[in-house]
Amino acid sequence: MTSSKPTEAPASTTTAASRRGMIATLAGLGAGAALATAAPAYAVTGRRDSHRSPRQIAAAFYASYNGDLAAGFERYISKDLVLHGFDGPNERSAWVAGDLELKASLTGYRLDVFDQIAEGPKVVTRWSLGGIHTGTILGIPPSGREVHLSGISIDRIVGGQSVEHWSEGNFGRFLQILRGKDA
Amino acid sequence: MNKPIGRRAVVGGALAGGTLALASAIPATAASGSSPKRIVKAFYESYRLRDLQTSWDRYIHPDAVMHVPGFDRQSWLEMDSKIVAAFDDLAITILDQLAEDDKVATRWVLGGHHTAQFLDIPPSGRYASFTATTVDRVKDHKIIDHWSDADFTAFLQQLAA
Repeated sequence: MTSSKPTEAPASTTTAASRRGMIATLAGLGAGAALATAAPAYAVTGRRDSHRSPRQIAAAFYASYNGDLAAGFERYISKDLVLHGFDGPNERSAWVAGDLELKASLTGYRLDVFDQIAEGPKVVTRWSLGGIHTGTILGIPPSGREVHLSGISIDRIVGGQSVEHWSEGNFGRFLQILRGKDA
Repeated sequence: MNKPIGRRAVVGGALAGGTLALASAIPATAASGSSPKRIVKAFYESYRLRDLQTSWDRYIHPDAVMHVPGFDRQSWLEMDSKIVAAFDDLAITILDQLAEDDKVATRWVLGGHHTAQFLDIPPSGRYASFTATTVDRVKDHKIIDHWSDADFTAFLQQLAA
């Protein structure tokens, strides 16, 4: 399931380019830029995004995988996140580090969002990511193979940030493919 | 699902007590309405009845598309029937559901004791489980599109460990 290439047309999401444009506009205001650097980013951005719908917040976060992912985590994922990972409860910092490593280790990295379902504060996102394995991932040396991982995630959005995250995907098979045990 | 199940219970009661008893084992949610969310919930909870052919007939649209590479409506039934046969107390428990229009996302856990051979793995006697998140689209009171993601590889490793 996870080794297949995405065959669907990605759903329309906020593009990284348009998001960067918005951030640039805000940073252009001198006072706002100074405040943003002096205060914890989530305290400022949380208020900035609190009027946006849960679907818009989730779309913007997943779009950041194709742009500045570290900034995406900072802006859209609460520091008080409750994280239900692939292997059970996990720490926010581990998720951030793992996804940044994954992105840096897959040449041509891209994450496509295929669908979103929203009800109340929760948003379901169906996605697939992939690239050429050219860097070390979880200690697994580069294989040069093209690899893909699909998943379905749920985020609970409060105040413009995800405060609880669940994710399912065949991560075990993905690791096997990286290791060359299941070509 | 209210009307079809009601008719089955009535017909079963008139013709055979055994059928009526089976109908009474169907989760109450299956008979409480026909929203997409209730239909999908009833489908997953029907696994504990261990008759997936009946579940497929009732809940899976004849034109259903299985969006998992390598599977179609029939091979999905065959694979899940193998799981049911290998776990004598298998059940799917719904953890969360979200719906929008005709699509339903469901987070569930499947678990049971591994009491018979599954694929090439001999019975371990162990309890094994995995969680999954699925997206189902409902048409004509049946599931017509199905997407699923779960760490099935880790599940197999539990059995073979």
